[in-house]
Amino acid sequence: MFISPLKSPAPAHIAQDGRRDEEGVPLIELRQVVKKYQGAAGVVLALRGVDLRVKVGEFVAIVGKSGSGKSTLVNMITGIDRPTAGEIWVGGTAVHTLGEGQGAAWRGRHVAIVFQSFQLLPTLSVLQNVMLPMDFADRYPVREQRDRAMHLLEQVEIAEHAHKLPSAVSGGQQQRVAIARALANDPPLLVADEPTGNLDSSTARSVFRVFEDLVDQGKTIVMVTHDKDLAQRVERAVTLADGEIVDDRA
Amino acid sequence: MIRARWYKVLNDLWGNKTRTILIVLSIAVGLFAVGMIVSSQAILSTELAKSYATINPSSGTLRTNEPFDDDFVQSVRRMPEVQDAEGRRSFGVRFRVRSEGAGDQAEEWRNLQVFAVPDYANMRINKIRPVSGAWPPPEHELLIERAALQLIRAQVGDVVLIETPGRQVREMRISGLVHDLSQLPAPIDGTPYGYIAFDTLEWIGEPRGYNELHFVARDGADKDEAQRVVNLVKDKAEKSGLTIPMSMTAEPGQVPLNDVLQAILLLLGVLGVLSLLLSAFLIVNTISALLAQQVRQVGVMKAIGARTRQIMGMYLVMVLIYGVVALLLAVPLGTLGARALSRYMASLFNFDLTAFHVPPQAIVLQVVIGLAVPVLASLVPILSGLRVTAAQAMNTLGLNNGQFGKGFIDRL
Ligand SMILES: Nc1ncnc2c1ncn2[C@@H]1O[C@H](COP(=O)(O)OP(=O)(O)O)[C@@H](O)[C@H]1O
Ligand SMILES: [Mg+2]
Repeated sequence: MFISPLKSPAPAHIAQDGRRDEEGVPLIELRQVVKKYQGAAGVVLALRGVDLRVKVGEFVAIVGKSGSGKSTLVNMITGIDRPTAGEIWVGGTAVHTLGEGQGAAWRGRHVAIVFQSFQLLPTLSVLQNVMLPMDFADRYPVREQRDRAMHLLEQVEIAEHAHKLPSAVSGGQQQRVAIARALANDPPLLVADEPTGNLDSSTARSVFRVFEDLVDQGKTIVMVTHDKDLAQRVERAVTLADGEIVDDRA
Repeated sequence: MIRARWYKVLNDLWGNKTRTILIVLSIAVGLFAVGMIVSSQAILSTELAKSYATINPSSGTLRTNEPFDDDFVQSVRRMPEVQDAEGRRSFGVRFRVRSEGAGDQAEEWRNLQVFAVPDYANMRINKIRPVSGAWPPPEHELLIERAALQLIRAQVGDVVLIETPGRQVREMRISGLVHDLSQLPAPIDGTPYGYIAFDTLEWIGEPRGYNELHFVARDGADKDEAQRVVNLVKDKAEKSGLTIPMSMTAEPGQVPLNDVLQAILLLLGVLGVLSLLLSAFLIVNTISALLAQQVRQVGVMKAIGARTRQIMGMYLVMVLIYGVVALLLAVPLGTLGARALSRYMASLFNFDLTAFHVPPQAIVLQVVIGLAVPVLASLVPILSGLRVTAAQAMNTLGLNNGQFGKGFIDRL
């Protein structure tokens, strides 16, 4: 696979911090992250001061009961939502300070997101869906985008469906397309919120293998999952309960 | 190489053809109306002015009770304020179409206004122009104003009975048609117009003298000056012992019904603007619905790195495409419509179109409106539709397991 691992070294501030992990460079660092939601039933404390560090090349599973704050946590990492308090650093970027537009632009190049329900755009072909993030990020020249998208589809073994609409392929295939789309701009970090939640167990395993391949190629992956078996297979599982990390097992 | 985002725009347009057609048609209708009316107005105004100029319209007309002669006309013509003057005779008669074999009750008498011009070959003011048949009016025969023919209910060649003011009945053949732009169109006025030779007057029992003085003021372009000259001429006539039951001052350079023409065009213009407002309203609604339906897609695009301005560009291009397609329909149709409307209005107001040039500013106006209205109408729905953040869009759509009811919809 040609997808390269993280190209830039870890940010200086982390190194100077004196908190450098012995084994690797932290790509993600959450410091005392608090998230409150103003819900219909009052204030919900979804995250109660979470500290978390993820090193480059790690494959981390986030597990926990429904409502424990898993999605909230990964939305903090991807910057699609902002914390009430605390800091989120990803690859040297202070994600908690990014405005909406800056966040989108940053995400486009640095973070791949894979959703539980695939979220492919229904009126674009599989190939065009993969090309779309490249178009927005403008990282690759327009004339190369199609070839690159095709290449990514080959890697997730879905190239023969390139010209179909998402609705014309199965759920497992859609999730592979979504992974190819997530990798469009070759980001170092992939964040997935229950990516196998809508898939049957054998399809889920094959999608999971795609993630394992990506980790082998140097990507860092944070994956929310309900699936106990899958959680067993990752290097590290972080367990959330009531907005707090209650277990962090390598 | 087309960028992926434009595929989305095109596929969305193509994928919902009903919506696309509805919006395009609604914009096109408004543009068509605006184009047709603006073009017609420009065409009719210039053409009417052109036609009117060719008859050398009078700036004033006097009617007298007593007949007057060429000497008086000459004396008016010599006034420094007057450029030219001409005398004519006009009077009302009753007529009916002579019907073969039918009794006297077959048709009732109707009114006809008859004009006698001393020299049809050398008219200089309010010129009457031959249209078909005989010219100038042969002795004892009658020419009819072309727009009045439908009121007469007779054909050229038919013989009508004329009852003179002296209650004599004469048979007169309709031997031709003329065009007299200085009169209100007969169908609007309600009275048909006939034209006879000056030598026919005595035969019909009318005195051989003028009772109408048409004149052109030297500085007729100014309405106040025209009015002043009318008063001067009137004084002069009264000093000569004539009584003036009626005098008219013309609006410089404008046909008698210009106000009506402008009012009709204005009304049509209002209808055009209303239809544009209607299409703007439809755009607001459809784009709002479209964005409500695509909240999730907007959120996903933001999540995969689209900046709001990029997404906004996509939706704006989409509405611009609506506008462009509507223009492709509306500009040619508007031109056809303008042609039909101008022709119709010209026939209604009894003048001829010599040329049909769609004014470029009408097309420019259509293009500007065709692009601006969709963009302006969709700006608010687009801006508010794109306010949704990625997180809100995700929450609304239950991406976070079982989080329905906590999304932004409930917070609206
Ligand atoms: N947009 C929101 N508004 C209000 N409450 C929310 C919102 N999103 C999540 N929550 C609440 O925050 C808590 C954590 O939710 P979430 O992160 O989705 O949990 P998980 O993904 O582990 O199921 C839950 O109690 C949930 O009800
Ligand atoms: Mg969740």
